[in-house]
Amino acid sequence: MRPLDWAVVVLYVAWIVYDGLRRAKGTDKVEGYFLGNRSLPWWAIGLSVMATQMSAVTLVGTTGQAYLTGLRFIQFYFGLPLAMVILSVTLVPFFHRAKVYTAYEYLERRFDVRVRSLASFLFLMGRAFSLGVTLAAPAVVISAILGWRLPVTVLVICVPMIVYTSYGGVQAVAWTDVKQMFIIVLGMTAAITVLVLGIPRDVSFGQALHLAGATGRLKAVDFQFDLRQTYTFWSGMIGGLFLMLAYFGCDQSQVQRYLTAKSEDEARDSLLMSAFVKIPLQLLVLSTGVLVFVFYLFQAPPMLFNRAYDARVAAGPYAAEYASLEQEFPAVIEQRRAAAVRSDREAFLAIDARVLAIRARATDIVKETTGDSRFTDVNYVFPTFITTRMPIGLVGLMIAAIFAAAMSASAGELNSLASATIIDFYRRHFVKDASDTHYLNVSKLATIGWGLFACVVAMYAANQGSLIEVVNRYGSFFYGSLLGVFILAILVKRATAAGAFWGLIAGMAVVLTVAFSPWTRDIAFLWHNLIGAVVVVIVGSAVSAIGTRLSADG
Amino acid sequence: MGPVDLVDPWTLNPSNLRIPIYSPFVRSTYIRVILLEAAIIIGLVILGRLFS
Repeated sequence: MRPLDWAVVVLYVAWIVYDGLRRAKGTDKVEGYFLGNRSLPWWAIGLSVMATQMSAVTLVGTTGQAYLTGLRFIQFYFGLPLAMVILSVTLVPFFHRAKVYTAYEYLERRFDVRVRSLASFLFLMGRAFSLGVTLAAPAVVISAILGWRLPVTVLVICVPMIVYTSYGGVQAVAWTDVKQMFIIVLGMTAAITVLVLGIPRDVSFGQALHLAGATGRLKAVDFQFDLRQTYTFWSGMIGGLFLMLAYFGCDQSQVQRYLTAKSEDEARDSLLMSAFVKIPLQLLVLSTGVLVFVFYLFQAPPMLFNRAYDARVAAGPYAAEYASLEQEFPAVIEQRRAAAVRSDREAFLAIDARVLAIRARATDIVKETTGDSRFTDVNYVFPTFITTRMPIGLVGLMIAAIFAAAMSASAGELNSLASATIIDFYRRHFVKDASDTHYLNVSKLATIGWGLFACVVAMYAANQGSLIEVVNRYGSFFYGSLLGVFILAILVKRATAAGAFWGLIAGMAVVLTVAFSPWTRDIAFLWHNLIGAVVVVIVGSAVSAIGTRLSADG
Repeated sequence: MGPVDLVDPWTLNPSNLRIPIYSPFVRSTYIRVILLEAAIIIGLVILGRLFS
């Protein structure tokens, strides 16, 4: 990082905080603070929603994943457009006309306070921990790039974000998200330009794509029906559909966004924006990863992108073998480059297999030396390219884009945690008749409180790989079940409060069993959403029917 | 698109669904979404085959 790059990053952070604070106008009431006085235009909400999903993990992890395996991750999003259409027709009109602050308020009107509180509590637990992880993942990578200590990085991301979110509420979140989205797209476009220009002149772009295709990286769609495969056409279309329905329809961090719309039509349009733009945007990110692969066919890559354990490996029992691999690697890369330039497909694939074998053995050596069985360099591929290959100024822009992604993904979640805490619990159960100013002040305190909690979780989660996995799995426990309760509420007219409550508990219990049972734990997590939703609807309907019958008999 | 007349305010019924689904503007928007996705998937399949 040169002074110009640092200047870009510092200017960006200062500008975002300033912009967020200046958006605080009109947030002197709770409705302004949580719902922006229901006045935001559809395009701002749409961009804000996409910015929330475009976390730093997406930016850094997805490009790294595409570098290693290609475009297949795109299948994860296949259910999204259909989910947006279904939600536009079903849940959006209900939420908008009910004039609710949280998605779970609707559940009290339809069922009772017990169902509302349980659903909101599940949201709070899942979202609070996942917010910590959302912050931890980029913090680890940024720390490695900039050489900062982890707590410093977490605070550099968190403090500005907490300041503008707590002060400006949802308006600050939405309008800063819009700008952050532009920074992210600008950064990705700059990276793609540098990558394309990095292909040698004697190699055509089509030839470069053939090389990526030869390694299977352009095979994006897999029609094989296999429940154990995480990303297939079917898991994306069916499991992904239920995940997206649950995420956009039942997760307060998303619902709150379209509740800020001026009208029902604008709320719908904001969702349809995601339906149109999300897959192309994700393709842009994944294509960047594939282009990084193509770039490193012609420019020497490091053997491993994550060099955090270099010193320990050098002092460990496999130091000699690791050094010999490092010596062999540049020669093999040069052979691969030569085969790529002369478009010798057979030789290229054979040498590429040797490159993969060297990297795999080097990774195993790091794991065996350090005992870190989860060691991977996926998240370090794109940052390494940024810091070593991009021109001065653009490095700063890309680092600013990673900061932007980390902040925009977290700010909306933070605001939604505060809204669920205050509206569903504090105002509903504890202090029912205070003034609007009182609720506004405690909302700001709740935002700060959740922000600090997320910082602590982030600092802890960064060193706990298994915790990250647990938290990710926990998300799919409650998402499908929450969706089931909303399906029950809207589609099953005879569903009762008791049915919804026990259905929700049964849904989570079944998903938990499926996730950890030795016979079913290989089922990919996207299917958990479908399983949870179906169980809640079946159990909820059955309990409702039995309860209605018993009371009729009694 | 006018307001939906909710017979039962908190559950969905055919009269709630009719307006959003059959409004020509909304219907064409939804169809465009589905067509775009189909085009992207077909495009990705062709890309994979073309550059394999």
